[in-house]
Amino acid sequence: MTTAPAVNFSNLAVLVIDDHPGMRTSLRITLSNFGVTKTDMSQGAFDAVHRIKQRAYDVIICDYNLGEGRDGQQLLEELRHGKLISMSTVFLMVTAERGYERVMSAAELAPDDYLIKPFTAESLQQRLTQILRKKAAFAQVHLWLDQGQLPEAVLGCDRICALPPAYTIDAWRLKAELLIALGRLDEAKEIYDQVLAMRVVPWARMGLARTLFLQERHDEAEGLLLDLVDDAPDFMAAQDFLAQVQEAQDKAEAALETLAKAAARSPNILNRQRALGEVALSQGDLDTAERAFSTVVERNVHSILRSGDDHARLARVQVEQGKLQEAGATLRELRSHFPNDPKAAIAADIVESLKETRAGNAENARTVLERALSLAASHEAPLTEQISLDLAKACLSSGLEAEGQRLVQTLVNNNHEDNRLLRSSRRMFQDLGRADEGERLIQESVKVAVSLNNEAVMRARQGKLEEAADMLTQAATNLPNNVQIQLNAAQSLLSLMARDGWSPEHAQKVRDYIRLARERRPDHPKLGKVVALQQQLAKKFGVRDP
Amino acid sequence: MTKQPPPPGVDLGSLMASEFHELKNQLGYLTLALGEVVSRHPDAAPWLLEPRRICQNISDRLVQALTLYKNDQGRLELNVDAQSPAAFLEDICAQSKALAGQKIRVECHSEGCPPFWFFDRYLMEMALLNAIHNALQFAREHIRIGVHLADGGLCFEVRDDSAGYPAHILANQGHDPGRTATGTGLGLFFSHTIARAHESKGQHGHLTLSNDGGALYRLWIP
Repeated sequence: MTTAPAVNFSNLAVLVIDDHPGMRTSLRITLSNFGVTKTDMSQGAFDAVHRIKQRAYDVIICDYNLGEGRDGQQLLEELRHGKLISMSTVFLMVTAERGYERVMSAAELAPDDYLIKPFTAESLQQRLTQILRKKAAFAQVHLWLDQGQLPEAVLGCDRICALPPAYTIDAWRLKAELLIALGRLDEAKEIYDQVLAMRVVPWARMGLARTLFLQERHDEAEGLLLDLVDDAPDFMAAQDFLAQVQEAQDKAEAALETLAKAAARSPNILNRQRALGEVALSQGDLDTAERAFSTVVERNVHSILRSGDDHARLARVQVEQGKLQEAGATLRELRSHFPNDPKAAIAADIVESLKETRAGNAENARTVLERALSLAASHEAPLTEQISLDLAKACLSSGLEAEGQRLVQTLVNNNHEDNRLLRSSRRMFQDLGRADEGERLIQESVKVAVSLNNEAVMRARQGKLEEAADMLTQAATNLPNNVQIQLNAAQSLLSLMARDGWSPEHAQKVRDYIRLARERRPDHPKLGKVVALQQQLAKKFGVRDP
Repeated sequence: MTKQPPPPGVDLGSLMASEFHELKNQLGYLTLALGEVVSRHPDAAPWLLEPRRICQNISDRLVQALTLYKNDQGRLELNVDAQSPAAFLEDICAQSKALAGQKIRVECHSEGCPPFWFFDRYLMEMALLNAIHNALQFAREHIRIGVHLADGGLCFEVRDDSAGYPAHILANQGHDPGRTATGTGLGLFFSHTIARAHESKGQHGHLTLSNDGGALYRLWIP
């Protein structure tokens, strides 16, 4: 048997994260036996994040079960999303049961490898050796990825596939994900189809479903996910994604059912509970919404990521249920837990106003509402959609008619494709006994956004690229939160430059639109396509930094 | 004494399963602790090798029993993904050599095997390590571990230079877990179950036991 080159462990900086002190010590000694000299230890996620911010680690060995707070997977997602660790950092997950490995191995953000307890020192050394070898093979690709050079990284994957085939499947998997990010969906689909022809593996089914969804083939994506959920009921990422696909198809009831099932199976994932609460609320299922938001508020006490939004959500559901005392208690908790957060104060005032209206105290309602409005005016950060909608409701209930209507119009203009928000807006008007009038207002606002878009697309097709770009950049300024319009504006400027040549001003605008879109909707179907176009154009004109 | 039924509401199966699970974790710590002693006091290694092997063996058998219980309940789900058979074998070999110590020579062969194949790495490792435990126990001088392509599938092999499998094991080919008290029966039944669970395009894996200058264990998957 050919022996691959030995790996030198002596220069590696290793972080061990485990809440069990015996396990930490054990691992440190085991690591020192094969030459690791620099091992730091953390007992939980909070301390680990702190250490990782202080210094760069080559290897992180993390127990999945970290006791209170976050689990290993959540920590990994936070580290990768927050770019706290680079692509070359090894993340090795340790689990007590093979269940987690099964469930997580198909996740978009999977760790580099798993070790299932109990494991031997030899096993740990072998796994580390093999991952480090793989990292070495992917070193250049990972560097490009860290620098955001996606097209180069794709070519790098091709080069790995052309080498002796030890990492072919890994390279395919990574390449397919990059192609999705670049909006090159047909190519991504080809890879997934190719893998699935060999064997039905969950990550490839999931990848194919994502590709189909982005190609707006929603029915096919849903069918595929329903099969996957049926075959692998413990594969939670598929259920969350299924709910998202069902929402996009405006199948609210199906989405609610999917999320309720998933939340019952693993109640600790707070984002899932939030999604469940919001879908339930948008359909008027107040009891389910209250249960979901209560769970979030209770479990979130220990998280460093908690925000006042969860309390505000729970309180507003309680107001609608007529549980005014409970709502009052939740609001008091909101104010006391987030004393220096202006957004929390605004949210608390808005929901307080709704509560006072419900209690029949019109005067109090108006007083707190005005306080919220003046706070909001002096505060830069935008409110979340749900809180904006609550603000609109409070205004409409307290006789601030024009303000309320303006808020709804802006919200709908900016989110004309968001089925859940449109449903929630309709429900609000129903609640106020103004369903017909509300429907008119919503439809008109949707129409404004859609017709602006359509008009511009038509001009572009007729070759009137300047006119299209003018219309869309104007619309993008008026509707700064409408991701679709931002991206269409970017695309129109890119088409203009493709015809007329590079323009630094246009390029700057494109950069801004892409940044805004990425902040608000990193998963928007159009984002990858526009980014790919931008990079392609930059290459054509020899611009180093697009 | 009359046989008492369990109190209502108690699912003894699940209770035992979670108890096994906890025992397995405790044994894990014990195994690691013994490994630590070996590395700190190399002169004690010859005495600790056997206790360490026993710990590992008990732990592995608990996992196997748990996995078989899950399978019996219809809850065994495979985590099939593309793996490199050569890298997988290298991992297994390193563990086998640590288990074998100085007494038995371990040879590994993965020449000419395909770059990747689809299987559940963890379950396959459990099955093979169990076969290797047996081989090490009965081998005179050496064992050979190998992987190669055969009949359009992938075949893992563990071969020793012992007197070979006894007749009753050859007769039931691992289909019957209850024939021996040594644990061999459970381990072979586990291998048989894991092989069967690997399926592709209607074809299932299988276990073949034979004697060929010693015991020859072959686990084939499609």
